[in-house]
Amino acid sequence: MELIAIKKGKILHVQAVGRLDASWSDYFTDTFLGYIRNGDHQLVINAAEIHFLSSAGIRSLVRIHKELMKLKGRLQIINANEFVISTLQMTGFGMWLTTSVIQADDESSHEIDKAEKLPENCYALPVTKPMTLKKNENWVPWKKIDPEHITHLHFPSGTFGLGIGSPVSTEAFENLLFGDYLAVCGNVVYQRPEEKSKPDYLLKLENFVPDLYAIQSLYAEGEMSHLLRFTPNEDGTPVRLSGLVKQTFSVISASQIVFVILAEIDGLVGAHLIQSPTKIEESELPTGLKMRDWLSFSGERIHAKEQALVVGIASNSFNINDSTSNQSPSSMSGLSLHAHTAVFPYQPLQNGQINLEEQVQKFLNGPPPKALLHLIEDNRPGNGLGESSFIRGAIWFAPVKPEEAKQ
Amino acid sequence: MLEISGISKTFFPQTVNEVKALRQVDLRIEEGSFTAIIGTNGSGKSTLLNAIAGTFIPDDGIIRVDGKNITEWSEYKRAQLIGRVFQNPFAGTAADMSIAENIVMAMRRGQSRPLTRAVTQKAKSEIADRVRMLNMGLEDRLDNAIGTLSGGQRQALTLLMATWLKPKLLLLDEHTAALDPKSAAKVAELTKQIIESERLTAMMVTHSMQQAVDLPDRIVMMHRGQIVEDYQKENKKRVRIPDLLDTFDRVQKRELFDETVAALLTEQYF
Repeated sequence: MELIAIKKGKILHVQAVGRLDASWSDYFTDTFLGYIRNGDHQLVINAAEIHFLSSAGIRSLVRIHKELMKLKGRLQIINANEFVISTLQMTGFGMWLTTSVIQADDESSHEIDKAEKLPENCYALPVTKPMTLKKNENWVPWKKIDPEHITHLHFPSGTFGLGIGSPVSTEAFENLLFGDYLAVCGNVVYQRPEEKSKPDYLLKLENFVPDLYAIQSLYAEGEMSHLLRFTPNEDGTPVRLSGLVKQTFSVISASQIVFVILAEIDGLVGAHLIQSPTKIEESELPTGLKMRDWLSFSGERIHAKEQALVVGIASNSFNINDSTSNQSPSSMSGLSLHAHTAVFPYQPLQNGQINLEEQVQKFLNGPPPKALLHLIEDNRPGNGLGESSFIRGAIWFAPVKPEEAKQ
Repeated sequence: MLEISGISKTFFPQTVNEVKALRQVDLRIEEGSFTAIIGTNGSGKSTLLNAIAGTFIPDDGIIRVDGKNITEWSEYKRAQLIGRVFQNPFAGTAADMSIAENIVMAMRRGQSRPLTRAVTQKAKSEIADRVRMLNMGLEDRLDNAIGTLSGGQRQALTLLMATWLKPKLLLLDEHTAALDPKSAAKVAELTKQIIESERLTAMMVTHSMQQAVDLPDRIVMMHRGQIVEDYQKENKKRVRIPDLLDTFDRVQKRELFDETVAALLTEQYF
């Protein structure tokens, strides 16, 4: 079977030539899932030269149709011959057949604030509660932890956060395992500080509000003001994290933003704790290779083709953690940026304007996260890995102002 | 059953080619257990098996079988206790001799072999019974030269020969690696079947994660001459191929964590 794809406006036309049977159905499915992954969710199959359609072929079409339904996309079949028409009609799938292509709806029925001039693929969102930021900086890294350094945080809907924390448990303070976490829309993903462990997560459910103890936290509360959809650059190169964040600063006038990214990963560079800071006995920075007893470093660009859920805070004019802070976030290509990411198995995102909370729920209710990383820009001369980058996805963001009061 | 304490081996010491193949390896293998040894190339898997088989004497450490210190025993003396199957399916058999003749030699391992008729009718009948369990139709071809068989058939016979006398310890050194996928699967299946039915104690070096997960009841992972992971009991039961790959990844990542990474993370992590 030969498949020839031509993009006409928002619709991808695919001319299929040959037999759509058990021998070719896997190839056919994989090719179409590839189109969907590339962001083509309005698909038209020109079936004039499909000579045979078996049940395996129909199963393949059903799989593609289901995938498109999840993304509010559409599958249409045109120019089908008598055999294909009768086969589809008899099996109850005549709805795909059409004599003329139905033009794609704008997949996003959003309302753009016309007063605000936004770039293409950027959407202003209604905001009733602006984003605020609180910090817990009681603990000084590498100092012995004191119970007074710990803050009890609750994450209801409309909260975002990242830092180092431990789920609430009956364990004594000395046994708490503080690891990297992120929180988004009332859900928490937490990485136990062990090399082997997978991330765990706490999801909001009815009256349950996830909470944890944190020794270091950036805690934001409010609503996202904008959504920006992004695809690879014109030359096909993936989008770097710093480049994406800089785009957000070009959209809104702010010195500091909180953001959430859902995107297909090109490569991540990061680290996570593998030993709880509660084990710090002496208040001194581990030197040289002793650091690897505390932190695991990605060592290469990892998790390509999987899906990232990133929560971050960035500043373009001053350090996120001001001069009184003891924290020193990464300075990523001119930005002060602190971001944690959870990694999920790939699932395509619907095009256009999408709702953050719905999308986050979709991922957190699907297969469990595979990893959680504190993103790093590896700028070592010669062998540095660079920074994390993404292929396509969405970034929600909002301006934030730090609050004086501590959580 | 097998107790290895602190064995080390350095090849070409104090030369530019020096290789520390084993570094203070400690390992205890229980009677009737089946252990897979996995690891990257040059991790010391086969060197460990060779140390146990007596191919060389380790620089340091002690090897005991059933409490007997065999560290200084020669390879041929250890053959009384240890059966081996190698990667090369042509290594364990004599190509010009018949299937029956090859097996008779294995049946008499460690015994005197006087100049009498080797393949008696009684022996042939016993051989046919055992060969039948391979389910390869070889019981009807006992007089054929073993060199006429495929690699998979020869390796299955080698496995049978190595276990004929129920060795105290069976060592399998990538014994399916040189076979085509179908034969490899067949020999792997026979391996598990024979080890379980004969209640043998076995160690298998393999690069196949699938075999490591499916066949043994314990997985030991080596890296740079050391044991870096040991999956036993419940941990072995729950381990899957992605877990093993993650562990390989973790071990290699740790190696990439050098002073420059430490400096980078000191600056950027907290």
